[in-house]
This record gives sequence, C-alpha cells and structure tokens, in this order.
Amino acid sequence: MHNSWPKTNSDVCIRCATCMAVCPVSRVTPLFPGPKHAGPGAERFRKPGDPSVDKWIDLCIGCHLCDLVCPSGVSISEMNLIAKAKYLDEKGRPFRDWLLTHSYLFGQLGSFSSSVLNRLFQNGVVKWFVESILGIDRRRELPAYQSSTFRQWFKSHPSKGQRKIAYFYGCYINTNEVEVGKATVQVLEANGFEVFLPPQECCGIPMLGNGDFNGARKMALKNVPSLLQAIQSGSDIIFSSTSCGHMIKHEYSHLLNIPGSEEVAKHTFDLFEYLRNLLESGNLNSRFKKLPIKAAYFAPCHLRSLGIGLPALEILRLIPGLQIDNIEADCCGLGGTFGFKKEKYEISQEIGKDLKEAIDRLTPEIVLTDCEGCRMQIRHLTGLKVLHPIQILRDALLQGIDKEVGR
Amino acid sequence: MKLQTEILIIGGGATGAGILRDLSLRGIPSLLIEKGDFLSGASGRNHGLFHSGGRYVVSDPEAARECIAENRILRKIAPHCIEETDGFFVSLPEDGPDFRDRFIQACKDANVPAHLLSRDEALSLEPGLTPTLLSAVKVPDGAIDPFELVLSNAKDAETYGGKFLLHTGVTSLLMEENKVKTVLAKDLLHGEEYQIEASHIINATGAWADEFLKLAGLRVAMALSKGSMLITNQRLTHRVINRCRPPSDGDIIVPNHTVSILGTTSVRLEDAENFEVTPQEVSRLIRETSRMIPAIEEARFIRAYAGIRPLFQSEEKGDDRAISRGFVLIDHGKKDGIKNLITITGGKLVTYRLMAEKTSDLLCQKMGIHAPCSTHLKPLPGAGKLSGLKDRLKTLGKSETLCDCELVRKEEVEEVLKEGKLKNLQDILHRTRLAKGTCQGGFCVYRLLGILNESGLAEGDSNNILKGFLEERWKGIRPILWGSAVKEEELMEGIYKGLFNL
Amino acid sequence: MHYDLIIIGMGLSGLMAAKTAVEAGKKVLIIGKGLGCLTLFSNTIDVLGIPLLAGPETTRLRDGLSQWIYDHPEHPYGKVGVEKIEEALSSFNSLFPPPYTFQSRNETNSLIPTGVGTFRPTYLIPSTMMRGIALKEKKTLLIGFKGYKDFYSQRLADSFECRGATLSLPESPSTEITATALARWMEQPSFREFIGTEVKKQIRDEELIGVPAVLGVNDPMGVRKDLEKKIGASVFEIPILPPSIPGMRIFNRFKERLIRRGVTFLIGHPVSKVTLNEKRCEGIEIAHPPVTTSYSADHYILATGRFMGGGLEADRERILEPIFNLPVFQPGSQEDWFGRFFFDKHPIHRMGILTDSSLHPIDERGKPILENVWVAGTILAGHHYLDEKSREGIEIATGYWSAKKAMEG
Repeated sequence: MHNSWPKTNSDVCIRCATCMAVCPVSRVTPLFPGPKHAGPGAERFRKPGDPSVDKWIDLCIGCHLCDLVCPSGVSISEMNLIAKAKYLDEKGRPFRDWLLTHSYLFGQLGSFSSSVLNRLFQNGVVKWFVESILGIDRRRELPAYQSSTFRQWFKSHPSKGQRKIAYFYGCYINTNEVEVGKATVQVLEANGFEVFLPPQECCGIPMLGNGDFNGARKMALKNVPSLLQAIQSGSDIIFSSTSCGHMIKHEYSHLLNIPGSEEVAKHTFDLFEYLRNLLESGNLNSRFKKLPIKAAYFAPCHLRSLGIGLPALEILRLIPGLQIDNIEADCCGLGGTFGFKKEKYEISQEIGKDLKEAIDRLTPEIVLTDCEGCRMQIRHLTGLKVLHPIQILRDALLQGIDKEVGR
Repeated sequence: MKLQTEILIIGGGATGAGILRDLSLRGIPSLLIEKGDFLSGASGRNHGLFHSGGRYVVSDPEAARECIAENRILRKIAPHCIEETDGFFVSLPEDGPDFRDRFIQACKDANVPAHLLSRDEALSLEPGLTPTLLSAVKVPDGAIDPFELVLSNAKDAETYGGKFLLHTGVTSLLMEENKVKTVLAKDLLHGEEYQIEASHIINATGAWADEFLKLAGLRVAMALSKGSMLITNQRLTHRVINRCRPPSDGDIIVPNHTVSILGTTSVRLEDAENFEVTPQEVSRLIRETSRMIPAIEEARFIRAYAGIRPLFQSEEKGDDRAISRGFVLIDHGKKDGIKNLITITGGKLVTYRLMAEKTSDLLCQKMGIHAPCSTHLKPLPGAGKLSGLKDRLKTLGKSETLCDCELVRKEEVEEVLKEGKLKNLQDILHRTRLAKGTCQGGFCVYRLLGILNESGLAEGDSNNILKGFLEERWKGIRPILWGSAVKEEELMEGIYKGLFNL
Repeated sequence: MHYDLIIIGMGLSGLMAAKTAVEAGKKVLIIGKGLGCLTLFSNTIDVLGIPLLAGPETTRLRDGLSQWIYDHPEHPYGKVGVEKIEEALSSFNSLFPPPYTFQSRNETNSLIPTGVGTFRPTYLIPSTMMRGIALKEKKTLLIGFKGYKDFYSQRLADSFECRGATLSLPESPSTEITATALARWMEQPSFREFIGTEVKKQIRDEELIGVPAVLGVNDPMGVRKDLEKKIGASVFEIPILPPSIPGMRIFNRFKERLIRRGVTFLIGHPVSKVTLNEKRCEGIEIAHPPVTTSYSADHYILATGRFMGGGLEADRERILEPIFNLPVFQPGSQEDWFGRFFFDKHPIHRMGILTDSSLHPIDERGKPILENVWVAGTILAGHHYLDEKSREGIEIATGYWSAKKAMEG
C-alpha cells in the first residue's frame, strides 16, 4: 500500500488548481507549497528507494479539503499522509509527537490524577519545559482533565430503552468533555434507545495524522473486534466525534486494511446522521422546547469528509427559537495535534483567524461544532462558549433535567 | 560579414558539438554553425537511452562494442548527464528462451555485462512488469539527458576557444577546383549573412547530410527512418525495460527524469522536415509496450513525438533496423576529390564522443598535425548541477517555482537567461525543464513570457510567441488526446481561448 | 434519504438549479464530485460574446440572442428562449445585491482587459472589474506583485500602452505568493495600508489602477474602497489564471445562501451508481469506501459539465456520459475530435447530450430516455461555449430552466 507503483492516481491530476483555492495552509504560509505541488506534483518526483527530502510535507494539516474539491478525484491528502509517514519513519519522530498522540494514556491514569495534571499544565516551569524541551507551544492551553470520567458516570447511570445502541465516545469525551457524552446518552435515551459502551481504545487518528501507521493500526486492531461484537449483538454504533468517526468508518479499511473494518463501517453512524435517519422515518423525538439562542454552527473537516451533509444543522433547525447559521470557513487550524506543535502554532492561528472572522461576522452567542479539536480551537480563538450540537439538542429536549452545560 | 576559421562544423547535434569540443581541446580554431538550436535533430528527439550496447549485440556486434566502450567513458566524464538505472531485457512467453540465450552469448562476445534474472527476481525489482514474463537479463543501460550532454560539450568548447553560431543555416557553397572555398550562411532569425572561409569543413548534419552534400554536387546514400515515441506522465519503472527479441516496434521503455519514454516505431521517410506521429503508431506503441508493463494501457500520456534516424545505407534491403547503427566517416577528398570536406553521420548518441574523436583524428592527419584526443579523460563541466528528482523536490516551498509540474525555479531560468543571449522561446525551453511536465507548458510559458518582458529580453509580440508555442505544443498533444489529457486540454482552452481570448 | 430534487454537479448550472428549486420550497440535495469550474474560470458572466450583427459593443444582448436563437434553434439557448434566459440572469443577479453586483453596460457586451493584454467581450461584469472597460480611454497604471507569478504588469502595460509596476511585498520576499494568500492579505487593513503607500509612490498622472483579481474573497468592494481612499485613484481587477478568486466569491455566495435555505450539499463524493426502472430514475448511490449511501428523489438534474468536471469522458474510441450512460452526440471517430491546430474550432466541443425542448435527454431518434431526469449546463450538445463566449450564460439559463421544468414535471 505504501509503495504501490506505478501510482496511477496522480495521473488524473490536470493541474487545474482547484485545490489551491481551498488549501488552508498554503493560504497562510509559503512554506507549504500547496496541494497541487505537494500531492500529485511531488508524487512524480518520488522514487521508491530515494530518501525523503520533502520536509514541508509535515505542514499538510490533513483537512481533506483538497480531496473534496478535486474535480478529478485525486486523493491528495492520502499522498501527503503517506509521504509524511515515510519522511518521519526515516528522520525519526520527536518524543513530543509520541506524547501528543498518546494523550489518552493520561486519561487512563485514573481520575485522581486529573487535578494533578491540570495543575501541572498551569505551572510556569512545566510550561517552559513543555515548550522548550518538548516543542509544544506554551500559548496553547493544554486540555483540562475532568475529575470524573464519562465511563465512570455511565457506570452509575442505568440506561433503559427498547433498542440497544453502542456508543463510541472517544478519549476526549471520556476525560475532558464528559458533558458531551452525557448529552449523547440522554438524547438517545429520549429516543427510546438503551445505550451501551463497547470496550474501546483511542481510535488512533492522532497517530495516523502524525504519519504513525503502526501506532494507528495497533489501536484499530483493538477496536474493530469489540465493535464487531456489538454489531453482531444486533446494534448499530454511533459516534459523537467526527474525527473518531471518520477514522473508524473510512481509514480503518481504506488506509489501514483492518480485517472486519468494512463490516464495522456499514453499521457505524455519525450521531446526527442517525438522528436524521430517525427524523426521515418519523421516529425522532422532536418535542423540542423553545431555545432563544443565537448560535453559529461550524462543520469540522472530518464531517465534510464523511459525506453526509450537515445533519446537525438540519436537526438543530427544528428547535424553535434557535437561530442558527452555518459558519462559512474552511478549517479551524488546529488539525488535531498540529496546532499544539511549537513550529506550527503560528500557522494554526493564522488559519484560525479566517474562521474567527467568519464567526465574528455572524455575532453568535454560542458556537456549535461536532469535533473536540475544533471546539478547543474556537474557544482559544474567540473566548466564546463552544458546545457540541448534541448539548443544545439535549437542552431543547430535556430542559431542566441537567442544566449543567459547560465546557 | 566575413568569418574565418580553421575548421567549420555544420550541425549542432551531439556529433557537431562533440567535434567542436574535441578540436577546441586540441587547440584547433573551430566554428560550429547550426540552423536551429543545438539538438534540433535526432540528438534532441530520441528516447534518451544510455546504451549499454545490449540492443545491438545480436544484430550489430560492432556497434554494440562501441556502445559499451563509450558507455564506460561517459559514466566518468559526464556523470551529471546520466542516470545509472540499469536495464532489463525482458522475455515474454511468446519470445521463448532461444533468442534470450543467443542474446546472453552475444553480450559475452561483445563484452557487455549481462546477468540473467529469474521471473521473481525481476518482479521484485520492477513490480510493474507483467507477471507472465519468463525472465529478464540485466545490462548496464541507463538514461541520458541529451540536452545536458550537448550543452556541456558546447560550454566546454567555448572555454577552450571554440565558437558557434546558432540559428544560422548554410545557403550555398562556393566551390573552387577541388575544394569548398567559401560557405555562405545566414542568420535565420535576424537575417545577417556570413561568408565563411575555412580550411576544412565537417558535415555533421545528421539526417540532413545528403541535403548538405547536394550543395557541393555530391550525394551520400542515406536512409531516413522516423521513430515515434510517447511520453507518460510519470516514471513507470526504475530501469530501462527492453524486449528480449529481435528489434521491432514498441520494444523499449526508458525512464527519464519524472517520465518514461516508450519507443519506438520505424517508418521510412523521404523528407527530413515534415513528419508527425500517426494514430496507428500510437496504438502500436501502447499495444506493444503494455505487453511488458500492463499499466501502460491505463497510463496518462503527455506527449508524442518523433525523430529521424540518419542511417547510412548499406547494400542489403529490408528493415531499417538491419542497417548498421555504427557510424560512417567519409573523407570526400578520397571519395569525390573535394579535399577539404568530411562527412560524419550515422551512429548513436552514446557514441558521439567516439565519432568526434575519429573525425578529429582524420582532420589532424589531413592537416599533418599531431594533437592527441583528450575528451575521454577530461570531465565535462556542470557535474555539480541540480539534476536528481529529489534535489528538485527539496527546493519546493523555498523559492518561486515557475513550472509547477517539473518544479523549475525562477532563479534557474534567470540563470539560463543570464548565460546567453537567448531570445528564442524554444531555446530557453531546451535549456531548462520548463514545459516538459504534465501540462506541457500550459502555465509556465505564460509566466516565462512575463519574465522575459520584465527583464527586457522579449523580442516581438509576446502573444504571437505564445500562440506559436501553443501550436507547437499541440503537435505533440493531439495524438494522445483521450482520458485525462482531454480534460487537461479543456483547461488549457479555457485559459487561452476563454480567459485570455487569444 | 429522499428529496424532491437531486442535482448532480456543483458548477454554476447545478447551483442555479438548486437555487431555483429551493426558492420554490423544494427539498434539494446537490452532489458534486468536486467543485465545478466556477472556481477556475468564472470571473464575469459571458452570455453571448461573439461579434453580433453590429459588433459586440453596440448590439443589445436581447436582440443578439433572438437572432442567435433564430439562426441556431438547436442551441441550448433555443430551448430556453430569450425571456427565460433574462429571467434566469436576473435570478442570478438577485444573489448579488450592492455593493458587489454583476451588471452589463447598457445591456450590451463590454470589452474587459485580460491577463495577456487582449480584450474579451463579456456581458455581466462584477463591480470590481467594471472600470477596466475604460482602460483604453483613461491613463492607467497596472500593478503586479513580486513573487506572484500569474500576473505580469509590465507585459500587459506594453500591450495596453500604459504603465506597469511590480511591488515588492513586505512579507516573504524570496518565496512565492499564491492568489489565495494575496486575497487573504488584501482583507487585512495593514496590508492595504502598505499597498496604498507603495502604489502612491508609483503613480504619476494615472486615474485608473489595474490589479490582478485578488481583492479579497469576502468583501471585495470594501477592500477596493479602502485601497482607492489610500491611493486616490480608481481601482479595478483583471481576471487571472486559475484559481479564480472572483469565481470563489460566486461559489461561496451560492453555498452560503443555499445552505441557509436548507439545501443539502455533498462536495467531494461522486455518484457511483444510478438505479433505473424503465424510463425513470429511482435512486442514486454514492460510494465512499467502504460505505455506500443511497439517495432518492422525485426528480433529477444532471449538471456535471464537460470533460473537466467529469460529465463527459473520452476513452480512446468514444465519448461517454458516465452517470446515466446517456447517448452522447458525437459524429466521427477520435481522429475527428480535434483540428490540426490548437486555435481551430474543435468538433469535440459541439458534442454532448441531446435533449428535447424541456431539457429531457433524448436518443438519436428524438425519443425521451428518462422522464424524471433533466440535463443542464455545458454538458448539453449544440453549443461552442468558448467561441461563443457563452459559458456562464448557458449554465445559468439551463440550470434555471431545468429546475423550472423539473418542478412542472
């Protein structure tokens, strides 16, 4: 797969530059030559056996926008990812990358450590260490760990319903945004589902995004059997993080060739895609209460790549009183772990600027988006309250049950 | 204008440039004139194979021996022009082992190193090969950049006092008794006329040798054979892939920079000026080469072109490939009584140096001077140049890229512009890799014309030059218009006919 | 999912069809394999730019169109008719209220300057380009940017017989700047301040300043106004090589408005299969490996463009329409597709899908093939949009008309 030769896919590139119109990175820095050059252009110059020299490939943020707009169907970001993996395999990865891609391990330390970690991350000396030695930009707030994990909450939460559904919540929800997990469970229960949590590990997208195919494969090999078991027991799988979802649904089979992943993909759905299907079949609980809020919705890159439209926007529009606009911007700039890296922080923030301006034009009270990375970045950029759309939907559905809506 | 020189060389192909360098190194004042740019003939229109001699070991062992000897020399003196890829001679089931065994024996006889590889060994090195192959024989073939080679020769010659006039064509010869007294020539771009007097004249005009000799009332028996080639968008293999059978159409695939070149056909021509690649040739090339590399059926092509092989006619008739690829050196003093005229023709790109050496030796002998050849020892200039693919890749994002397909930097082009008084667009394209990639100059030539204008080098109406380029480009593109190439053309027409309303 | 209308193709014709249908209250899905050609070429709206009866600048487009339709009844315009073409154009215009509008001068074609120093006839011109028409009459200074390789002010100035200058930019002096990066910088006041000062240094007695079309994606008129204030002269844009920033403005406006009205957008996902039952399309599939998703609708519009957009495909023998496998009008064999010279009128451009007067695809004998499928845009047979200078006009008119017809059907 890494060295399929000859690589016919870049043959279909007609040099039209549509990708150059949308690339968020080349728009803000000349250091990245842009998808037309970095992808099918550079591919013509890569000979198997030649050492990697394309250092700039690491600046591809992996947003997939170039793939989506290409009128010829060139898989540009895939070429970039494979070139990036080769480059890093040869040159070696900094310990920083390992830390960033294995942050889920912190969550496994147990909740008692969360306050220790949080305090540690605030400490000036630690920040200095994190930036100078590790190369993680000190201006970036490190995610705060919550005192109790989503899993812990769920254990004490008896879920009841007519139909079982499996939930892949992802690491960040488990340790940092427990509220999103709760809202997901509550909305699904309000629609008659009994939620259960199949055993799961990090989906592996942080590793994949950093060109660590082996690390990602390890994660996928743990998740797929567990998810298959859930499917065999007759339930579908939903995810609330579009990054985890895209990884499981598409990259497990496409890039990683994990046995069984195709079957998993067929039964795995984005949370709002699932709700939209319920709406279509007339089974969505839409007894929404009025929510007079002015919100702006941002479609994360991985949601766009899922190719399911903007289901959250469609569902949220059913809520009376909720004024919601789509934010016309390309990419938030965080790119998973990309924006944490010292050498990429400025680029990440420049990309984010365009998003911030688009948000400012809409003057919302809150911003909604399905990806934890985007939420983190938008908070960092705007200081606004940023939620997962399911939290608003939960509020509209169950106003008063659990008003604890927070970061 | 009157010009005087000891030796006048007619023709700026590899042979002419090689002779200019050889004589200049021997300290003999020489002038080369060429009616186009360097490499306007066969030297610039071939598949860029750096012959090991393998292709001739069976049919023409003498030529094969010359090839392998020169192959060894050029690796030393012109490493920047050569990519040492190795080559395979692939046997398919229908070829059978008989020819292969003869081939291996002939390689031994001609001193061409040859190693037999099993099917699996060949496939592991070249996964694009058809899995049905029987075996492959490895020989020291490679890829050569003829432009770099010839331009390096010319540059070195200049350093040692050699002179050349490009775009200067011979209009007539003034004869006196048993010699050529004056050569009348004309600058074809600016109209200046020259009367050139030289003690000796060398006819190195390749396919035009007979035409030139007619000016002196002489003839040489030449066959003109058109060979057509196709260029793919990407390199399909790492090595040169030959078919292990008697020479025939579509039996070679040469990797060259970012692309592969599929060759060739052989069609007898009467005229060296007007020829094009026919659809039948395109189909035949794809059909035959895809037998060795099946992906060729689906591959994207970016250009088709043809060159003319100047072949010295021997007595036997038959396939042109049977005519010797060895070269011919004619002393017209001995043959026809014109004592200061020599013709050198035939041969291969890879034997250009040897041809130059033999011609210069003959001249020295005629002039009665002793000046030994040193071209086999002295390296050509330019060995440090950016040449490898990865060198180009490295510079991406660091400077302005003029040609997005071949990653040609603006500085590179500006350097070429600084070097010479180049005003002809095609001359600049010859000296860089501009317009040699996927879009074939669709974007970068527009940019080049802008730069020429801004540096005050533009001559004439830029839009006429642009239109002329697009028509020249079209000749190579029209034969391969299907699939993605049609899409690409819609883009180009959208730009030039739509957006720019040319 | 089920929709009232599924549109395949994300170019100008598909977007116009989506706009028309959603404004009539329909539930619409629009699917694009990628972005259409909008972001490559569309700067202005060509409708019919061929030299008309008395030259392009003096004939009212309406009269020219009537004559054209009279002479070419099989042209896509012939199926829509002058009145509906005008209706479609004003529907397009309604998306662009002031300050960034598309207008014609006296309902005739105008000649605008191009990036190689020629003029091209076009009909609706965005506000940022309008003043370029006066280039011949007014003293003009053309501005290029060092490191931006797709615009050469000196070369243009030579052709237009005016002056040109190239500005060095404050940031990244030695590397390259893309059009999108320039457009983004233009939206920053500090950059405009810099450009304003630099242009002022270059200006002598010029009244007009011509710049490549990079005056920002979001608020080009705001950018221009600010620049003009700083420079003290009128500024206009000249269309550039792809990607087209003005084209992005058009696309973004459509997308923003259509999403707001509830149109579902699927970008980057080609249709992999259609299900047909006798003379009806019953559904489509989108393969996004390893998952396939099905969608259905009452009506379908095929607006996939020509070769670049993938609406038509050419193999070594013939031309195909890959989605519905509709018959493609294509006289002759591969050798006849293209002329001997690049600047020939290539026969391949006239090929395409044949339709009846309501844009239903028909076979060679004129029989409708699919009752609930309509065809719009440049994929249609019988036009030569490059020579006619009619690309956007055909897209807007047939996009609009196909949706109208689909809603009737």
